[in-house]
Amino acid sequence: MNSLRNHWNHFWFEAAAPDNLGLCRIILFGTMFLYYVFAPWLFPVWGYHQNFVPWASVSRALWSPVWLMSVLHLAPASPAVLEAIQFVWRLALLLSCMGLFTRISTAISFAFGVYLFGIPAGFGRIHHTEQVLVLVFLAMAFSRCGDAWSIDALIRKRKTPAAPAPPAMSGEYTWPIRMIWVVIVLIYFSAGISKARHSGFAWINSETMRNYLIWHSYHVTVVDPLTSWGPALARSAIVSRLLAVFGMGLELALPIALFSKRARWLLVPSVAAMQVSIALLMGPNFYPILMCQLLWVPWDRVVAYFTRPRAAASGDPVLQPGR
Amino acid sequence: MCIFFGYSYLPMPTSHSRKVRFFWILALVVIAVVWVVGAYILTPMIIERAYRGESLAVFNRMIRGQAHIPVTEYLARWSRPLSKVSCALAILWVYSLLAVVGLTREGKSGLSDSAGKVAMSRPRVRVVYALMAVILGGSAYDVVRDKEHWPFSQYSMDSELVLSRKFSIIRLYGVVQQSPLVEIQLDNNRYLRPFDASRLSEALGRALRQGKLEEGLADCLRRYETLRRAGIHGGPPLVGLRAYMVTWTVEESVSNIDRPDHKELLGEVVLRGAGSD
Repeated sequence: MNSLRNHWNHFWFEAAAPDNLGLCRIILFGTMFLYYVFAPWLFPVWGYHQNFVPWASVSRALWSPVWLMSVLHLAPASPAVLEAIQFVWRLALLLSCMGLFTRISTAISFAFGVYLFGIPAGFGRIHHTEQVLVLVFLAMAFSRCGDAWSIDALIRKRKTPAAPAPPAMSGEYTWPIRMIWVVIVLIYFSAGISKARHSGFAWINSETMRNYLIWHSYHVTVVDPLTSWGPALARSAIVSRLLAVFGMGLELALPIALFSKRARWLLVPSVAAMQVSIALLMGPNFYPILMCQLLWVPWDRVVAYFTRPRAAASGDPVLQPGR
Repeated sequence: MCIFFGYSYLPMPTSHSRKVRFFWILALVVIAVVWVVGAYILTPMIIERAYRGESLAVFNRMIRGQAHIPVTEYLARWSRPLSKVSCALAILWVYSLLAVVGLTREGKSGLSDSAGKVAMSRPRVRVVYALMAVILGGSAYDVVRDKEHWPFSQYSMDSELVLSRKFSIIRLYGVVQQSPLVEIQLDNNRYLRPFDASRLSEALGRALRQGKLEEGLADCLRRYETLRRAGIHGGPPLVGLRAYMVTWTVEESVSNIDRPDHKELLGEVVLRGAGSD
């Protein structure tokens, strides 16, 4: 039992430096800020989904709030108010990325994110693109992700040089990353379990994938496929079934990536490739979750790798965290 | 279990761990073989014999509809849930095998004694556990109950079997001219954003069930015209909007995309002062 507890604690609370969490904060909130601000302009075909304001003017006849919005008695505000909320939220994403007022900005990113993501989900159908962000932002809001690589850390250091610095190594910097991994894994594993529950092996060993590949070309999805390859691939029953095997297999195997570094190298890029394939062949894009996959990378080591030779040559210390 | 905690596992004496591993792997293999033989060979055989009244009395009594139900139907009734149960067992089997291999791995645990210590204050650890309970508990509840409580979900999209090539969806058609009727299929997401085809179909379906379809259609028509005037799309001016339940038989060539097999009118709205732009 002792050993099991050790392993549990090691997974969640292994003492780590704050650098990786700080860098993950920059990547997560930075990519999301860019995505939600620029996608509507750069990709007008599908980017309009990233602008929440138009939902304010949609008739309530088409509104059916999701569970959380219903519990909190939330509904789309007027266009002006929604515009303001969206502006504050985008600003909070930027500040979270920069690590300025990190506690507040990450909390706003989460709270306003719940509201903004919850609005379209109440109009007809839940697209599972942004649920991951709600849970990931929640973990970040409770974390100490502003302890390093942040403006807050620089200000703290400048204002009170004598103030005690955050601990060099702590479980505080491990659990948020692990939580994000678990959230990502849960999404895929749940999807795999759903297929097993509703269809079993027949999901693979039937015409199902073939029909999905063709069906998605009939303008029935959130975004049309990026290519017309889906129906072409569907001509081959073997290819369709192989795609089904890979899809369901990857979803069910992803939990292994939590515990095995070797498996992580194979499974995480494969799952990312699967998401890209879905966008290419069937349409729905899951860019937020795709960007969250970046948080599997140990960014502190990546930065150390790229800074080490130069630092060694100049005699400077390697990787100076912004603590 | 140890698979859940990394690739360095409980240290065990070498010979003991080998025996334990052998025992468990053997047990798993036997269970798998028994299941495959029992579920895929013996049971169909028993069903066929019982159908003919040639099996044990207890099985023979279970089948009494020979007069109007063919034996293939009984076999199909067995194989339908079998695919799901086998799939679930296969998942469990693979993870059990990984756990056994992990648990009985030779060599020392890679963790030092200090590795298991939590380098955090107790109140903070409690906060983390509370957060874990919310995130993992909410997700687990939805997966187990097969329900969706946004932001938690069982992620059941595209999990159903689609064996038929026919499918139906609610689709809007814009009425360009009333008499003779000229209508266009509004199948481009640009026409009615922020809606997309899948979201709009579901929303209209719900509005139809709640008796609010006309209100919803009126909103869509206003939206179409507003977006048209703003230059978001290049569709023609409309005098009305119709909601149809359209059914296709899908083709690899997708050549029948503009010619559904069947269209059933669900509702219609006409623009006030139709014809004026």
